[in-house]
Order: sequence, then C-alpha cells, then structure tokens
Amino acid sequence: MQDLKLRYSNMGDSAILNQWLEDKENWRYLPMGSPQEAAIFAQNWIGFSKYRASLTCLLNDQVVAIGTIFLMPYKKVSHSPLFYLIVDKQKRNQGIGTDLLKNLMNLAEKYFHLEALIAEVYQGSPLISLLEKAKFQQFAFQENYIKDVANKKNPYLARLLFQSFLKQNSTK
Amino acid sequence: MTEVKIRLATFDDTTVLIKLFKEKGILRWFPMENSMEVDDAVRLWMSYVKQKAVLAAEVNGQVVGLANLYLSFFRKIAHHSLFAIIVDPNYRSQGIGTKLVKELMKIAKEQFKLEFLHLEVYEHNPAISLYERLGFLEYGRQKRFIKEEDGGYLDKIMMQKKL
Repeated sequence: MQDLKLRYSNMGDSAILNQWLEDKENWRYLPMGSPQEAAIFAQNWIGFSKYRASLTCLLNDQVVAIGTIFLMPYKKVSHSPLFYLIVDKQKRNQGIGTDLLKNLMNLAEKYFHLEALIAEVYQGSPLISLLEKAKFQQFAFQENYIKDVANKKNPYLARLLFQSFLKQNSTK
Repeated sequence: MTEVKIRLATFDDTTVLIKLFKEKGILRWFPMENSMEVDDAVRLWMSYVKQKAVLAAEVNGQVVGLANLYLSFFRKIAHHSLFAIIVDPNYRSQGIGTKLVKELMKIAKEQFKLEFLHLEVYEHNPAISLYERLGFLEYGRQKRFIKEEDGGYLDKIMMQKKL
C-alpha cells in the first residue's frame, strides 16, 4: 500500500484516538456512550503504548489507525490478551485494518511471545469481516450485551468474541 | 441443613476474602496465581462494597463465602453484570453457594434493575453444576484460557441467565 507506515504508538497519539472514540458514529460498535466514557476508554487504551504493545499506522504522515494489545496483568491468562483496533472512518476499506492486524499479530507472536489474540466486537461491526479474513474463530455469542437506548429501533446488540492462535507460540 | 445468613459485605470482610483465596487449591479456579495478584483482585472485588453489591455468607457468625457483582460504569453495558463467588472449601456442598447466587440474583434484579447476570468458570470446576441447576446457560467457551504451572490449559466457559 502506498505510503503506509507503521510505528509504535506513543502518548502523543491520545489526542487522535480520543477524537475517534468521541465520534458518536463510532459508538455503535464500541462500549462507550458518552464523551466521558470515551475519554476513560482512550486513556486506558493508549496507556499500553508504554509497553510497546500498540501500533500506529500513518498514511502520508497522518495517523489513520491504531491497534493495541491490552496486555493482561495476571500471569496465568497473560498468553492470550484482547486487542482493539480502530481505523479513521475516512480511510476504511483500503486494507489499512488488514495490514495493521497482521502487524499486531506479528508483534504479539514475535515480541511478546503470546499464544493467542482475542477480539471483542459487537453485532454488525465492520471488524467482523476483517477478523474472519484473518482466520479468527468465533467462540462466543452473547445476546443483548449492548443496550443503546438512543437507538430506539434496535437497542440491543450481541457481543461476539473471536480468537486466533498464533502459530509459533501455540501447539494446537 | 446448615443455617446460613446472607448479608451485605463490609470492608471488614476483606481479610476473610484474602484468607479464602489462600485456601489450598482455590486459586486453580481463579485467574490469579500469587499474593500480589490476589491483593489486586481483592481490591477490585471489595471496591463494590460501596455500591452494596457484595454479599457475605455467614455460618455461626463466621464468614464462609462471598459473592459480588462487577457493576459496569459504562451505561450501554450497565444492564447486566459479571459476578464472582467464593466459598470456603470446608463448607462446600452445604447449599451456601446456591444461597449466595440466589440472593445475588435477587439484588441484581430488584435493587440494580439488571436484566441478566453472567459468569466465567473454568472447565472441571465443580461449581458448573450449581450454575446449571440455577438456570445459567453457556454462551461461549474460550479454549486454553488458563495456562497452569505444569503447562496444562483450562478452557473458560461463559454462562449467563436472564433475570
């Protein structure tokens, strides 16, 4: 892809992440429902950059996506953490998410020696097709997980959990 | 039948919770493995005391079990809650877990207006039959969630029940 660059995220990326997470259009597929909640989520998210567990994608030197491994603090479960990924809404469907996910999986496998990555998404999320393309397997479907009263027609959304075992560190 | 009294927990119950986590074999069924991780989990668990979302089970004035609701701060997911329960191994199979979960479901519905409760339990945990008996249904299973010291794995089973 043209001019697509990748670097470790840093705390300076919190402003753009905050901006994306505060965008109501993105809330449909995320747990937050207010700017305050978005700010808390963004702060928690970008905090993992301190551990070099977060990657930032740049297109023509502009930040267009951030993907982060939410490292687990407890040893017994640290081999398979969750990750979150967001692409600038203007830059979707251009393969940026796919590229970032591949790099995130590589970081998880080679640098953190993780065995699996977990993704949590909500029904209808555009990330589902990305996960399926990357061969993630769905292992949970929790009905009515999201209740968005602002969405009068269809307030409930299910939560879907996906997992991908990382080849080098897992023996199936 | 053992006479069990269920009451709201207080911060004074913290030491009992730590003691229960130190009982032999208990940590097999929890994600923590050392005292630092236990302290962290206990801090989070007992933080819900302020919201009156932690229950204690007493037998003869002694706390033998605790259960809590991990109430969510995010509004869109505040209509349900994950919960956790621990019962002293010396008081198992005496209906204490059943009473705790039933009372937890009651406060979840009546006090917190929750629509459903969910839980996470590891395969082979004897508590699975209790959850099934109370009507919890499996909605997912994460393979190899727990990695044990000997290199073995345990799946995580996720269950929920509509209130």
